[in-house]
Amino acid sequence: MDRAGQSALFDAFLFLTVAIVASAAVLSYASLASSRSEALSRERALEYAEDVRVALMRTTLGDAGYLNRTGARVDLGGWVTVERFLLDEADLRTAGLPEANFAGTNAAIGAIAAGLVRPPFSVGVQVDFEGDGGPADLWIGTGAGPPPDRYTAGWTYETTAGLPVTIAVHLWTV
Amino acid sequence: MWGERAVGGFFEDVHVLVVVVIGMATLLASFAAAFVAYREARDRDALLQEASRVLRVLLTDPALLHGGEDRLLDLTAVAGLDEAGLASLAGTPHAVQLVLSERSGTDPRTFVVETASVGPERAVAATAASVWHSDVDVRASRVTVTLGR
Repeated sequence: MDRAGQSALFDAFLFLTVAIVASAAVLSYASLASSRSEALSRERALEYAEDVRVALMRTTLGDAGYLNRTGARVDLGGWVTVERFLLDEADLRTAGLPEANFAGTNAAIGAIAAGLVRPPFSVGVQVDFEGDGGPADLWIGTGAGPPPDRYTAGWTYETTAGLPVTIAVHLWTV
Repeated sequence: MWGERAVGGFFEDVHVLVVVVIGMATLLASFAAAFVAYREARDRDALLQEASRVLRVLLTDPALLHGGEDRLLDLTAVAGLDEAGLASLAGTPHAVQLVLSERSGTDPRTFVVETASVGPERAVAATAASVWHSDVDVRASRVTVTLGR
């Protein structure tokens, strides 16, 4: 094979290279469909977080209550919703009652929330008391707080003292 | 170039031909794979969208709600929902399966209604809702809609 024949082989390899690059580009473009589905998944996850928040806040607690300053249990009855309980807790905690006094019902709320969400999601409920000098935020869920990559649905209320309280439901995948 | 003054014969061209054929085959195979992947993703996405739509319809249809509140399902309406009712509400040509599973309250219940057996190709949409038993008993629930064809 002389120089002209080698030139033909070189052209063929050049074509092969171009074909491989073009194939990679086509396959990459096809994978964009999956990326688009991922974006839709995030939108759905946020919608799901809102559904979980609404369902959880409406749920009635069978045996809601807390311990007062003397350590006696205050029974709120079976009709209290999660939302009502958390707002009452915010009121009482800004008045100085410690978080431990609400531990039993908070744990029950955590159990309902954990049972409500479907895999692969994990759930946590965060309550922000925004009053001056109030106690630390309330977190019901695994760990110390929500991870940075999460889907959040929240709502801001006002306590009887007129202080804003935000209740947020966080979902995340592990 | 052929003949007496050829720079290469047929067998020398075979190398070139093989490389070109491999290049063409690679290109065509990638086009075919991309087309199949695109079509499958589109079909899957369409079925998933339809499942989400049916789920939203069921959670907002006044026939199933208590007091007209979205996502607050009435126990009596849910318990009385049958295949024909589900098919009518869903308004889809696909087979529909609805699973409503209570996650709180005493003796939590699970309701399952399906219009027909869902096939192997299916899409699932799920969310959270509430089931109203009474004013003092509202239960958190998982709602799952499966569409099949």
